[in-house]
Amino acid sequence: MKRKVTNSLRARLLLLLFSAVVITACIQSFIAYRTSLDETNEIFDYQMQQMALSLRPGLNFDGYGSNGFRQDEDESFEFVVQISTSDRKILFQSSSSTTLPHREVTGFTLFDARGTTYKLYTLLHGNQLIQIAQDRAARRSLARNLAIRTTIPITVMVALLLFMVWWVVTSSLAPVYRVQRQISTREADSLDEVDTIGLPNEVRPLVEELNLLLRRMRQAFDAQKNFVADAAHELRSPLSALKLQVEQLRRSNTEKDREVAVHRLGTGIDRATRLVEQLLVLARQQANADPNSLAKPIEINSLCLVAFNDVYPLAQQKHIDMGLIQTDECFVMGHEEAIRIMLRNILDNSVKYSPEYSKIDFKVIQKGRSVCIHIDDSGPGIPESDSERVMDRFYRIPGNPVSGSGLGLSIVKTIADLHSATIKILKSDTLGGLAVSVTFQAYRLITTPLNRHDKQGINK
Amino acid sequence: MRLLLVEDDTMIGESVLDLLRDEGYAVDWVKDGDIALSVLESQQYDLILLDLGLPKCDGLTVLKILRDRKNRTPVLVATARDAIAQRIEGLDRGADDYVVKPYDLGELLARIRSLVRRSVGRAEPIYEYAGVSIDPATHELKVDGQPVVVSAREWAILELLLARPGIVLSRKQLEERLYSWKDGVSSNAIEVHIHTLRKKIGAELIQNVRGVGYMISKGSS
Repeated sequence: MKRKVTNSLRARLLLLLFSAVVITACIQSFIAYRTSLDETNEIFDYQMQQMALSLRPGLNFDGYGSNGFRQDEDESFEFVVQISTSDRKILFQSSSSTTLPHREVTGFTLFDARGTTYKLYTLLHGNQLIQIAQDRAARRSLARNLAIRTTIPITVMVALLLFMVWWVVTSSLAPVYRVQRQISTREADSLDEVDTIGLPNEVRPLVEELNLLLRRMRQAFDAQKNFVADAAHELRSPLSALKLQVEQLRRSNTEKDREVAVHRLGTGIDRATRLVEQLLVLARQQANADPNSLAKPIEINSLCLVAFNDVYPLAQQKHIDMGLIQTDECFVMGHEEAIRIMLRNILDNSVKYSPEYSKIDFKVIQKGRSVCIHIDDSGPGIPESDSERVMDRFYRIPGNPVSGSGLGLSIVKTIADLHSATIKILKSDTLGGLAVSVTFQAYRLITTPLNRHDKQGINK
Repeated sequence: MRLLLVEDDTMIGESVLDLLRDEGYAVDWVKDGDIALSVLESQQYDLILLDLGLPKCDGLTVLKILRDRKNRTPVLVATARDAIAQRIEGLDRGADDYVVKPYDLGELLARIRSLVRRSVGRAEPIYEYAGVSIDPATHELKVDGQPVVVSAREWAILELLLARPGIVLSRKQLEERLYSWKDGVSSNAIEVHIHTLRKKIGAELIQNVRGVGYMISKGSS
């Protein structure tokens, strides 16, 4: 519980500010109380002095009896006045019950009488002794009352200050609480961004970071959702076809019908097989994601030739003029089989989408420190808006009439990533279709004895 | 019964097409949403079998445009995407039913029958009138309890007429709902089928309304 209080910014602020206000107020009240006590003391003293001085002209001693002025019935007088001669003859006494002690010196003294202490002021004037006494207890209680009254405004101020501190702290932290409320009351799976309007500069970066995180999460979430939907479609369609083809085979009565059904079932199985194979290739390449495992320098143009020969028969079937028009001799560091699969997938794609009697150009170009593999075709190409998504697993461009696994380009991308190569999907300048370029970092063979084993590796 | 199959996957499309034809449906197959919409402008179908992931104009859009045109043809959505949200969206946009690929053919046929039945305002699966009963699920025809064998076309004509007794269907209407684009129709094909049908189930049930067409007469019960 204690930890909770000190962890709350608001509670801590309120606690510290309240303490500061209360402590300051206490000190201030104490000082005010003391000062006012001292000052009232001085005022009372001054009053006694003035009273004594005003009695200097003397009294008419003959007018009233020497004690005629006594008022025995009233004992509550705070001040006692007594005038006497230097030979201790009392000329005037304001209270009969209290006889002031004889003092010969002008000034303040104390004396006890009637169970209380009096403060006495003596004024020596000629041969007259003018004495004024005041009950110290009464005088003190008066002084104290006055002093206490001076602290009342301070108390009121404290209350006001505490309220203001509370108000300022609460209203300054209100945006923070609003954000907290916004976050705590949202639905569990909501990834909506939090409003930053009105947030103090200290908190804003935090909330902005949170929003960035939420945005990234939403993107990841969307990508995952897309993947699941695409995968559902691509995995189910071949199965759907198979199921229907089997049904058709089961229902076919004539030899001719059966032949058609068996042929269709065969192509359906081929399609499902291709899908599974592509999935396995992708999984294998993704599992092989450690870029340094067994990477070797590879002579890329001879590898291109292998991939070219793999695909050439398919191109011939469609009468496509496929040509290797530039082959710079160059090396890249990588996995031979992976790069072959990658090139094959790009070429397969081009052949699949190119119309009959069209052209495919294949180039290997070394430019400075990079090796670029270019494949141009005259197929339908890929719209710019799809050039990112097309590399997602199972994504197929809407309206794509050619059957496929939807995995080809994601295999290409995975392998390119494995080799830190960059893929660009553009519109072909020369042939008007798709232009795929994969750029590797060139590997420079240094012909020193130290690297001889590298060369041997290539010759294998 | 004439169906429109909207499916972009060639393998699935050709199998469904053949299987539905074997069931006696007249089926037209289109591969994208745009063509589907233009075909639906001019041709009336008893049911549309619609895939959602279509080229050019996706299935949900086709559905929306179709319903905006006040076309009330039953739509059975068949798709490989099974997200519940998409199913809900499909049904809310005006689909009547939903099957997820890979579906069972038997189930697909049953759903087609049920939708067609509902669309003509019936709940009972067997059509029965004046002693003649047909069961679309088993393709059995009985006259006074006795099974009668008829050809697929004859059966289709009888099904159309029995679905709404008392309503006259013209020869052209019958042709349109019995033959797809692929089928060549000879000028008197319908008359020939009606003739043999009358021989099998009795001449008085199917009435020829001169100059208009044919009907199951209501008074014949």
